[in-house]
Amino acid sequence: MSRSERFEKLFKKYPHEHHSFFARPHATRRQFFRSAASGVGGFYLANTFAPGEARAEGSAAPKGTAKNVIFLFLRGAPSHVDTFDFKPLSGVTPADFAPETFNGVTIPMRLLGNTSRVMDKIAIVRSGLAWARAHPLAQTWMQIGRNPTSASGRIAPHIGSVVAIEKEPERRPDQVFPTFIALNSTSAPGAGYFPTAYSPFKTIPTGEGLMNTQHRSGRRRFEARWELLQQMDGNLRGAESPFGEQAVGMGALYENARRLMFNPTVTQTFSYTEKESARYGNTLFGNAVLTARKVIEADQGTRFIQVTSYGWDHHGDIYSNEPGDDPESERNIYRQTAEFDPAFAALIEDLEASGRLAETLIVVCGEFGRTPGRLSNGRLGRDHYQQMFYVFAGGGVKGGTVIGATNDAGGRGPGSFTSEPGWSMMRDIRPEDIEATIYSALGIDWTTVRTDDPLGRGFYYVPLSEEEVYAPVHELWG
Amino acid sequence: MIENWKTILPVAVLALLLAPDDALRPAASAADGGAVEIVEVEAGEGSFPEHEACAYFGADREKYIGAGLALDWSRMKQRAALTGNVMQAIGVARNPRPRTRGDLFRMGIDESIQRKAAADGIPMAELTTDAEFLRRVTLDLTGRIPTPDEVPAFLSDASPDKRTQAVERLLATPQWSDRWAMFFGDLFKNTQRTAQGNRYRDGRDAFHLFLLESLRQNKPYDQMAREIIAAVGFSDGRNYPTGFSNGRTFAAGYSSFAHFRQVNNDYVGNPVKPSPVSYIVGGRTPGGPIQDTYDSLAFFTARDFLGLSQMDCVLCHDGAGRLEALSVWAAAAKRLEGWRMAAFFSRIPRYQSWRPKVRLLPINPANKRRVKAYYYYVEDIAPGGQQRARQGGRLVDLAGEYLGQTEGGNRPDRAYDSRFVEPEYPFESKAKGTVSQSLPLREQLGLYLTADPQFARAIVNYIWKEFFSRGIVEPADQFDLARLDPANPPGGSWGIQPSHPELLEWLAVGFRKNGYDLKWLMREIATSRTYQLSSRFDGAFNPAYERYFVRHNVKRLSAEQLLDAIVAASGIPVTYGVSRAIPTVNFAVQFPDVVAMPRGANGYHVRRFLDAFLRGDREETPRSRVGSPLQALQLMNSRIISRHTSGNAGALAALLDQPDDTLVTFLYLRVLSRLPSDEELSFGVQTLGNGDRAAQALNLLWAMFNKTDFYFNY
Repeated sequence: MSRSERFEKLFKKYPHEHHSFFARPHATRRQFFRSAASGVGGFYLANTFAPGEARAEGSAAPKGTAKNVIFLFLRGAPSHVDTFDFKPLSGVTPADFAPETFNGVTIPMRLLGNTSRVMDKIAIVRSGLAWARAHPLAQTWMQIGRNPTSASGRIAPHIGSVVAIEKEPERRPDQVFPTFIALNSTSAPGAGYFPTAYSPFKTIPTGEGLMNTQHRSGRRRFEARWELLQQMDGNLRGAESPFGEQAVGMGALYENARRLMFNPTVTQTFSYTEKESARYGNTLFGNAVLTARKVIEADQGTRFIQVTSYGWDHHGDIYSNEPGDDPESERNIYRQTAEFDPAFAALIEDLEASGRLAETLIVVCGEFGRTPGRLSNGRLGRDHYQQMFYVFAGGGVKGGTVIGATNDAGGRGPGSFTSEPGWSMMRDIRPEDIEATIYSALGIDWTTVRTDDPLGRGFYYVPLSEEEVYAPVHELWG
Repeated sequence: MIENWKTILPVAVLALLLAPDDALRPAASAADGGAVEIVEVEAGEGSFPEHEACAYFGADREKYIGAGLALDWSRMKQRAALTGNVMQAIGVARNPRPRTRGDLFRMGIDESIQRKAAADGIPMAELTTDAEFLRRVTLDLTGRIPTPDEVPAFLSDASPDKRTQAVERLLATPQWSDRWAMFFGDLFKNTQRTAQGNRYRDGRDAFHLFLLESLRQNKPYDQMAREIIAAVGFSDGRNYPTGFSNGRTFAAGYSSFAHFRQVNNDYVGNPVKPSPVSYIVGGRTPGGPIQDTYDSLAFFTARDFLGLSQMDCVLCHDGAGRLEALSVWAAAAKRLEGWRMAAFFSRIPRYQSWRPKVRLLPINPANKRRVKAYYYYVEDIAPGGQQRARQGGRLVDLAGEYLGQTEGGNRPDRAYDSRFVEPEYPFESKAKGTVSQSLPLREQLGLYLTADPQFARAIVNYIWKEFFSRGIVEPADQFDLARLDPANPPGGSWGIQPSHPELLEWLAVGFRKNGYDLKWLMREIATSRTYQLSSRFDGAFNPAYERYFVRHNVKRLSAEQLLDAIVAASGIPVTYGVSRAIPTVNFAVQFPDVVAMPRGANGYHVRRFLDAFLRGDREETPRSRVGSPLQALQLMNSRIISRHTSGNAGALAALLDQPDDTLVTFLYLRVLSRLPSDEELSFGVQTLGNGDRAAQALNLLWAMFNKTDFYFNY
């Protein structure tokens, strides 16, 4: 028996269940260079899966009306009864909210004045219900579309990583941006058990191009240095590096990085003027939304962009609009919506103007809602509550739609519970349903089960649970 | 002293002394002498693997036994005479340590690794060279690259146990404590702010200082664990006298508010001090009954001290029917067992311990600013002293006992058949039956837990992984207690979980017998032949070989290591602002946190650099060593790199008046911790002569910072 046969036999006899990174399905060197060279999103040790082989057959017919997704994640959980499920309450709701009604949808103009311009383009889901009321749990839940503490939750990739792995075959060789970009989302979950190549490319837009794509000593000096580096490194970074695959991969990533340098497409996409920024509110969030729009319009291979907005956890002084001593206590519904509102409206209008709205699904939500009715005693805020909203626009979704309704049964006040689910499943709409909706919009079969997961029990794009069958909210398409 | 000879030494002597690596191979193969012992042991069994590429392990192996040793010794003596003369000439003392033994390759680690590789016919890499070893072990033990002085001194050192000596020297440095404080900060997830709560800067710093102090004293690890688990007091370690209430009013006994401040709030005289209390503070779990918080603490202790992160699953539901695919142990574990462990934390009262306190400190004389101190006070209430409060109109227990019946919150409803859950250590522990029931519950837990054989296994495996990039049990935080004993296989399709079960046990038992001494453990690892294997491998490397440890795994320098290496190599020192308690540090490895460090607007570019190299957040995102194009962009174009490849300052400026070959040699020593090969030397000299010499020197430095053998630990 040869050594390799002996080795194979031994491994059959003693299989190890938790595959090391290297024992997972492997890319050939050719595949590796193809994926590692595919723009700024490549990572070394990047493996490419052949989707047809790793997937069991699914059966559902996805909508497939959207090409891209922009996911605006309002981290901290916005109050649904003060925004998209507005429930004014005498003696509680501030008078200056100035609600107005558009086609039967009432919104507080003081908070969502800009959004009122695009009411005919957005669809609101009011029968949303989160599973958890603890921030990190619910935040991760929303972004991976399943319970993070479940076995599959521990290995689950971000929804954007699933989109990235599915859309990888559609990339054109000339596209240089990563498939999944996460702006202002430093704490977003990653690629789970998927190869790192499908991780979110996390960056914070500054408006001055993509960071470090210029050389401070000038282009000529850089070219000379680059040449020197190639000669000095010799075979250490080549395809035959004695250091193994990691060094080979890093060498390939240097080539990628170099393609991004002095690249007008990159510079223009990640830059904006003061005027553009002002239209989006000139905030950290606004600038990221603006950059997301530019990334979509650049058509450089990006299919999923997350932008995170921070500071929605208004346990105290939710309606106090006074600047305080402590920046944390300044967070209130006025400040938060002042950040969100202009950026959201401008995004929809600008994508519409450039003809990209029809192919770009915009999703807005937090990780849960906030207690309706009167403010909490003492702190004058709203606490964690599972009833929540989701807002959609573009990507084939029918504008002006409202799905579901809430009532005040339960005593906390209007907005307490779902009174009308508003969709075919006749129940509350869960994060898993939103996940299925995103996949469906992009033409991804949400019933897909991958067979390459390290647990060996099959990875369901949308989880199956004992209690529920999750499904896309196709009612959004009208 | 060595600094001097750099400038006075003629280049010819320098070349002799600092001969290229190849010329030093005989000295390096002194280490092979140690390997002979093992070959002899293995020879009797006739099972040593064939290895075509290396005669030493091949068919001609017999003739090398003994002969190899003699050969090496004679060549080494020549070498020693040669370098000894030069060293004497320039006034460097020969290493005074007696040569009692050769570099020792301990049987414990090496026998196990070699026996398994031999049994399965897996070839092994050769020993690494001296220069590679020094860089590797310096990075792994201290997080830094060797200084330019250490490299030639080590290469020219002829003592046969110089690698062992280097390990000893590095273990005794203050940098060792810095580097491992970062490791334990990661392990215990010490960060200022999590989504669950805020430790505040002072609390986080106090915990960091606790880890640093413990390492500086080389505190036994079991003691460290017990202190963390049973921590009581102020989370910032300050000494707040009784009488304080809320920072606005003052207690009786003080003549005025000013008097109160003067006595109690002395900013200068009441600094943040080491305290492990922030570990407990991190358990805070809002949005549910207090039992959720106790569950979090049970999960954290199981994950961090026992390598059992599946405790998190078990705290929601029994393993049966859910965890069969993951772990034999977890599949049989009961939720009640998790509760019993969590019940050890149930004497911590919620409202006192997890509600932050604020007090005004007087005006800081340094910057004339009034500062607030935020902190927690963690304590255990007395047995039987249950605390009750009204919640939703009902009187509920908040602390003192672990309630077995709760509704809502972050975990499924608790429906135990009795009102309270009694604390009981759910695993094996030698301390069972010996722990006094009158001790505070958390002290009892600390005693049970540190007497659990799994306690030593978990840390030994975590630290092994830090050196080898891979644990003996992998993933390192997912031990399966039912699959550790090779004499007792779990059956079914399950194999034994550790790649080398007897080695794991040998390390764990040794660690325990040596007083839970972290330095003992690291000494064993770093002086083993296994650790000193080359990262180069002849022939095709099957990825499945990785679990055999037959080749050293290349790993990218961590974020902090890379930045510190750039700073040290360039010779342009940096000062980082950190916090009130730790005002400034000079190296990133000394940061108490991985998030938003260093502080202030000036730190922006440093933070972006470190974040690009994936230092994690000590919460949801673990530290990672994978690469990305952002990293290449950082190393090529960032402000960090341009600052440290500036010609006006640093080591390069001082080297510019040296001859070309000296300049090139010292650049290689400073940046890459090795000597240039002949080709590299002549290429470097040629480059310097090609146009503006100073500019070309900077180009060389820039290229070295981007070289593969700079950003990898290989």
